Amino acid sequence: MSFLLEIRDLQVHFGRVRAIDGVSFGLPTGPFGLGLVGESGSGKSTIGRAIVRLGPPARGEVLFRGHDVLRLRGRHLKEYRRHVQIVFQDPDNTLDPRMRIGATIAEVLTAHGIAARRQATGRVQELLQDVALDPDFVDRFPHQLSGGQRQRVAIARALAVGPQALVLDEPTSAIDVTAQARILALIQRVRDEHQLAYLLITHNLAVVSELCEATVVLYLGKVAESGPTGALLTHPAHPYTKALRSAVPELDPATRSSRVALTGEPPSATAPPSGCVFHPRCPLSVDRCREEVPVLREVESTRMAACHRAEEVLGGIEFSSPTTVAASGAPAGGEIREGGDVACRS
Amino acid sequence: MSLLEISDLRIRFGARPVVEMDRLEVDRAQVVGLAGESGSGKSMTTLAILGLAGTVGAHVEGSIQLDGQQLVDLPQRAMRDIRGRRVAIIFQSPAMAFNPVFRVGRVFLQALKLHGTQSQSDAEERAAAALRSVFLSPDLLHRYPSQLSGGQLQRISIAIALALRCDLLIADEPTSALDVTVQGDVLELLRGLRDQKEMGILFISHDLAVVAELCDHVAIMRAGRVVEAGPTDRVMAQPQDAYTRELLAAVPRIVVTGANS
Amino acid sequence: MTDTAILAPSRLAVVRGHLRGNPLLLVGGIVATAIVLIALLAPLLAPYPADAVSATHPLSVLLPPSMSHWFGTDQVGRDILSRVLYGARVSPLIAVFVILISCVIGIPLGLAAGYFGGVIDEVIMRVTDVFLAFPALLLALAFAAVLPPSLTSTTLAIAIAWWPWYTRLLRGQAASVAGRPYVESCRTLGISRRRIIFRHILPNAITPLIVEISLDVGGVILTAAALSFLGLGAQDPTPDWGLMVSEGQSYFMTQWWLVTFPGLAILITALAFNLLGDGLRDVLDPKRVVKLL
Repeated sequence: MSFLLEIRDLQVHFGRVRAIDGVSFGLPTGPFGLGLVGESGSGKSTIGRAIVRLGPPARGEVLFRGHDVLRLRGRHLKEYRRHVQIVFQDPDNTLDPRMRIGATIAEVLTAHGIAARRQATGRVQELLQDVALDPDFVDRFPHQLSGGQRQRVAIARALAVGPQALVLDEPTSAIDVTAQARILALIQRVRDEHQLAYLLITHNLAVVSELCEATVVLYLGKVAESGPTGALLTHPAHPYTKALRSAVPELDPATRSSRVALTGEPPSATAPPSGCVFHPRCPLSVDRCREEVPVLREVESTRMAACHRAEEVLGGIEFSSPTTVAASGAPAGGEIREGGDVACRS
Repeated sequence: MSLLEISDLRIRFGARPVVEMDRLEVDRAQVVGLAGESGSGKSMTTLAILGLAGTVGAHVEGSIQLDGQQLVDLPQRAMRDIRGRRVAIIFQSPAMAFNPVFRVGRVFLQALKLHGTQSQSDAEERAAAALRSVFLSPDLLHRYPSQLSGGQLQRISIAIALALRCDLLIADEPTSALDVTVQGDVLELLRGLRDQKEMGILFISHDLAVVAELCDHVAIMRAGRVVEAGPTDRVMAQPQDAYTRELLAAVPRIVVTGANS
Repeated sequence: MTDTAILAPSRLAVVRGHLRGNPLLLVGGIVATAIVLIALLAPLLAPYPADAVSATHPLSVLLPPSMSHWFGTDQVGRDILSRVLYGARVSPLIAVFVILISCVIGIPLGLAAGYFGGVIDEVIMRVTDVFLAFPALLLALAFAAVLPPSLTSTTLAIAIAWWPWYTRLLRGQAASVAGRPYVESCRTLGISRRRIIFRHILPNAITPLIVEISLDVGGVILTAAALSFLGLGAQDPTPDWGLMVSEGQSYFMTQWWLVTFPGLAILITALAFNLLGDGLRDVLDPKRVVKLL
């Protein structure tokens, strides 16, 4: 399958910190949703920004329709920016506070010659309706809109250039849950109407399961595993994915399962562990994990994982973690150790 | 008698009402969730319980009783005594809860000495024991907040609550700023506080899934009012109020059907 | 729970709302306008216009305030009221030019340093730092001493000492704004660099500068007065307020009116522009809640 957007061995360094250390994956042509999942320090936002050419110069390749975009400049860069757009996480600062909504969107249209100043108004109103906003909003300032509405303006603005791919960087993390649901529904609708491909960056597994056909799981700047979302969540091939999945709180008691607890603290990117970056916290780690960096390889058809014991994880091996919390319908009893000499987890 | 009993609580800014809460109770060895979106009044309720509503210019009327003692209109000196001795607090932003200029240990020991522990060595012992209880090394007391992760700081907040031997813990979105794997650890510790220390916990959150996993009872707030309350399992499985249903429907769930398999 | 939004009021209503909610702005604005009017109409308002230029009246020296001389007369018999009124043309004018020059130099440099960063930032800021290392008054003094004493020299000397403060202020603001998501969005949306700088960064970075400028009017007037005081600025018979205070200081204990009225003029002018600046900051910030009746 040829990808719309292909990332090959991407590396982004902030000084000595290797925020992204060799990441590869592909986003097919739309309509398609690819989830990029990770916790803080995983580098997921950095990847999204690198794709739209923000941030420090990246090494490796980002291919859009087969052409490397990392070294584009001037007119070609501007051309590329019509095809791939980004929506940021923070609705409070995503729009210029001194410009009215209509002007903000119209500015994009005129910058790319899509519409002259006079015709822009009609197009702007169309775009607002596309994102389910009242066209009267053209005269309002951002501070007169709620967070969810501002995000929708940001989406409308991104759609104004007619992109083929969208990078959505935690688009709903900073807004209320009901507004969140509406934004997610909007993304679904926009994807179908415009045949969009999107890279949905988030820490929320439930969101990717609803919106993304495939998912890439990141840990400390590297890909832990990737594959079709459903399969990845039900039969993970990497211990981190399994731990992540088990940690997600569930509304329905029937779907709760034992939590795989991870030892230690989330790692620091300035001093990454040797061998597999996950090994200090991994319940399955063995000597080999400390010495040898696992290669991202195909463990099943369409499933890639970077783990020496991926086949065992895929096979459903039991995790003998130091603290496995028992599952139950009611909230489980917790444990507080009383003083004394206890093996500490950090 | 419940540990915490709120009745007919009315909080307003000038003439504008922000909270109109008829009833809320928290018992010992129980976690009660206060769930709602932003602007629903959950944080204002917390401030009122702590006697801090005046600091943001809000006016409080009604009854908030801690083991029978009325907290509304209690003079600040008496409130200061209650905060820390009877009621402990954990905030959303662990980094902001600790003064970055002081080592964590100093804050800890100060809190202990302020609320009853006499000698330095006693306080140090209790602090170290409390840290071990939350699976942290007592060495961390020598660090500055900037040298610790969010999860570690939240666990230290819980350790302080443990060491102070408070009856009531108010946790205001304690896991919202944490990674989901770290969140699990913190929730487990809170369960421990409930089961082994028999603390009553008022858990404020916008995340219904977390509330569902942790809380025994839940009160759903909207625009300052409690629209529905009851045992968590019942409210989540059979919501009576339309808003509760809307909230529950909005929570994204892990689904494994159709396009993603 | 639905998303809520507030209705957008018209621009005029916004301004009226600000004026109603901020009486000090009103006062500041009125006084500042009055001063400008006085400066323009001085020849018509002053009872003894010639006194502001070269006239002297040896027979009427040091007369206390009276019906014929509301502010009294100075050591060579000139009517102080007339000189104070004409002075409104001198001191504020210096302030205007100093600030204008400082802005013309400081704003582009600050914007460039803040937006581009890197080498450009380093070069501009290090040069700025050299100027900032000296107290403004001393720097102005140094230049004023080198140049022949006159109003023009005063203006230039103070401007040289003033521009670095604007550069630094704007550079900080510009750098901060340039990092915000909406500016990053402009870049990813393909908006031209020029438009980003002038349409997005400048308006969002300029507000602290506007407040600073209004505070500076008083500051510059005081600095000019100090220079005149030391004989390095306006020379007699120019009706410069600072010069008048300087000339009157030896008479202060007995003939208090020589110093008091020019001094009050400085005070009131500085205060008026100060209030105006504070109020302007409120008006320019679209996020402030407007109290509409």
